[in-house]
Amino acid sequence: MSGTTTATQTATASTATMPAKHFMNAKYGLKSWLLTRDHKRIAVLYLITVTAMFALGGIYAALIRLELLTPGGDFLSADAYNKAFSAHGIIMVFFFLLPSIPAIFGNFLIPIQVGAKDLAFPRINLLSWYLYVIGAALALIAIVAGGVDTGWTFYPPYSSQYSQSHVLLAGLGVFIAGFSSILTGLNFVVTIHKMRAPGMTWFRLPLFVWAHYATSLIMLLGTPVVAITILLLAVERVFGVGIFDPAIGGDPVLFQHLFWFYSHPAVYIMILPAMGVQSELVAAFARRRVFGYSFVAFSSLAIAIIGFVVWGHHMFVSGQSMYAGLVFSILTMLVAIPSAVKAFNWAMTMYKGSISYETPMLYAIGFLGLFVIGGLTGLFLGAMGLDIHLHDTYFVVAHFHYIMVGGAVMGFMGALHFYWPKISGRMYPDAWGRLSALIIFIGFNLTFFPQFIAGYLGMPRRYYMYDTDFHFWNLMSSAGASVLAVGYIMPLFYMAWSWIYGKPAGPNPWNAKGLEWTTQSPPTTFNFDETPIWNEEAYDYDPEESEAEYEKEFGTIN
Amino acid sequence: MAEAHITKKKYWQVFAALMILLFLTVFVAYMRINPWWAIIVAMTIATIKALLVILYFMHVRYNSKLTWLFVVSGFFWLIIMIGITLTDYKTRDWEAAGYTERPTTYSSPSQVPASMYPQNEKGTAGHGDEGD
Amino acid sequence: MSESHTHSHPQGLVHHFDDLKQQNEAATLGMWSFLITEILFFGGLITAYIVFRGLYPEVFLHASHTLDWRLGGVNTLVLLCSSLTMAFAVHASHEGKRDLAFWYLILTILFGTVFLVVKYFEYKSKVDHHLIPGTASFTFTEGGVDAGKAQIFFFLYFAMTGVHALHMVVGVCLVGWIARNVKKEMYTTDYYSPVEMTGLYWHFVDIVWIFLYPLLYLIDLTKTGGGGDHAMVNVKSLMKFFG
Repeated sequence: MSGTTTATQTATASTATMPAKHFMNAKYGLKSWLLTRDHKRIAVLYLITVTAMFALGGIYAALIRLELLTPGGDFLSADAYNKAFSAHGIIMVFFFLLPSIPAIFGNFLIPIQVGAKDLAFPRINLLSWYLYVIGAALALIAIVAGGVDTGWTFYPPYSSQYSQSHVLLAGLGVFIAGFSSILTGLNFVVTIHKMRAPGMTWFRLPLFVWAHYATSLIMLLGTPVVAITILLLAVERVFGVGIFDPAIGGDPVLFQHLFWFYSHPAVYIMILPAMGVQSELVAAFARRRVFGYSFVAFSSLAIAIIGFVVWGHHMFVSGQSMYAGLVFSILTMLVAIPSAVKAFNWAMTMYKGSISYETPMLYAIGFLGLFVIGGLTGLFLGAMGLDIHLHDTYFVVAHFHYIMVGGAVMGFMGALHFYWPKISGRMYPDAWGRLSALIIFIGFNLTFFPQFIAGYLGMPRRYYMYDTDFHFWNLMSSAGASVLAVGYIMPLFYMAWSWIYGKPAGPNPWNAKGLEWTTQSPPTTFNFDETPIWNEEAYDYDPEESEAEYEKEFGTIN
Repeated sequence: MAEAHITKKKYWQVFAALMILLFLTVFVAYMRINPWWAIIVAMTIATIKALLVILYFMHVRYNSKLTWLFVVSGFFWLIIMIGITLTDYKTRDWEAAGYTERPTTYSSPSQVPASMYPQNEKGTAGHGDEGD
Repeated sequence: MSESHTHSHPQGLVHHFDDLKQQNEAATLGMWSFLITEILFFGGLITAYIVFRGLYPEVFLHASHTLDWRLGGVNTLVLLCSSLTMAFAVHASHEGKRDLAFWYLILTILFGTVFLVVKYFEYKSKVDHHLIPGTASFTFTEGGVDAGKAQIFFFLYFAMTGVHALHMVVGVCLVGWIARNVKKEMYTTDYYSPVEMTGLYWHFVDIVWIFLYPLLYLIDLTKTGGGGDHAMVNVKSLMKFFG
């Protein structure tokens, strides 16, 4: 656990062998997986299903970009296009982004990082995976049966009265997946509060855990609201009467209030875990303690709390009171503060750090830049006056893709590459990893930066045809999307390859700090042979040690 | 949990208080006061009843600070949701939003018309049995 | 593995907890986490109710008169009683009085069932009086208010009480399951957190009703004293049902 032992671990890493017994070979057979209560196995189940949903959502993204390659409606009909972007949105938001980092990496790591044998409620953890699968299956049935054309936001009265598509099934899928998310959050909160190992105080927790704690609070406090809202929408659709129907005096804007009360904080469910990953990566590869640890920790909570009071900035042009809009606009500016605290602190952590550019670090650096662009353009949209111009244009699309893909997916890929040796016990080829990170970064910017420009020039979102003036920007965007696709497909191959042929990683291949790196890779079913006692600060990186490492590799400094 | 235990007598006392409050809230409703005040009184009584159940039947009074914090934050978030949603409804420009008539909202007791709480049947026997 | 594993394994302790104290604390916190999600689940409905009552007070006034405050009051009484017996069941479990705990749980189920039966008759009278929103036969003329807006009241009434009644059904089943376990001597004086957690859930459902009763039945109880025509049918059929 101390500096010297980690150094010897690195020395032995090259000759490390796979441990004889670990969580994956503890038992064999499909039943041992489908009925498992081991948080690590459930995380692997999530990894498989969530990746499949990501691929499916990606196919719909490809359809959208293919249609927008030309200004005319050459490839998809208007109706098919509506269904394509709705399927893309529903799958990516509810079945990829929301569960991605928490349900996979949070599930796998939080018990290990706090020094517990498992999450507090293992059966509930397994139940949450089944609910996710049922929800995803229902949404898939809706899509296969003919699709949904409401967009992922399900706004009434279109979704409740007019849409001829399978809104009910998709809504039910989202409703059920919501409970999966609630149960995951509940498990994390209780585990972090009650199952920390002796010595693992709150301020020794990795920032990954802090970020997941904040995320879990949002899951608990926000998700039930969207659940009841979708339930009311479903009743309205079935019985033709409801409180969102303007014909009888109902108010569709109320749906938007209730929907965004969850769905804006849900953005932070997606980005906060990625921020947690970012803290781990930056510290590990800059070999420095995260600058201003407690500020980064509390900024997660601040984001979770302030994130709940800004939802009306999605509704500036909905008919909402302009005075309410004013309040929401001001509160939106506030949420930039804790986000900026994080961005500055990561930059300060890297400053004068001993940085090495392994694959996860490339993703972390990419995250930092893209998140800042995404965050700042969010302020443009949060300013009520400017939003009138930018609302429902591609500027919005570009903005949230910079946060969701540039932020959350970058964090997901970073976590995947950082923790893959811990999960599989084997190393992937780092050169391939770096190449794919580079391709993703270039492809991403090529895809989405032109959309800022097209949107600013006035190209509306959610149309299958557009003015020829926007052709150049869309051409770039579609070209970038194909580059991006290559970047995402590559890891599938080298990760699968490394699962069998990869070099055994040993317990701590990155020479990183933290309880999770003291266990064998892959860990045993109960993580630790005996309850660990932790007496280190978080990110206890030693400057002298990293200097020595640097000198060993590159010669003396100066 | 086990270390914080309430006597049976305490439960009976809480139950008696709940019964009195139930009677009180029905009685106040029966008084046909201005609905503006009726809501406030009814909600205050309901809140006290809920507090009694939470503190004693659900043992929160004897639980850790953490449980307190969770309970309070749950209700606090509910208030955030209701409160901020109402900022829209209380200040919305209904004509601009496309409504032909402005919905009636009463922001003080004096604005509530007397038709909302007719007093003429006051004192007659058997309110409930008169029918419409 | 912690030390407690090398000694005797206490009844009910799951392997990944160190001791029963940690396990109980985790269960309590987990249950409260679940209950705050329930607060916000009902919170969406309550927000909608507040918004529309604020917009259409006259409509809510007249529509609310179709509800019988006496039946609502009886149900409140019944639920408060059930909360008391539930609290006693937890108390008895703590003291290891299994039989007593069992009978208190049975009483709780009984009170819960009475609530649901009363609710059934209330719903039935709404059906009889064509007050089901969304049906072609929906008619509401009282006070000359807009029938469309009256549908919003009844929609909210059914949504709020319906979701609550669903929670009651789940609660009755849960208490039944727990009563069975108590009978099978699955709990000890150190380990009875399932009884306690079920109690928390039951009390929470009670609290929801504590708010629903004044919101739906009482605050508009001004014109006729409530009940009226619809209510009388109710009371009579109820009398018949209970003999």
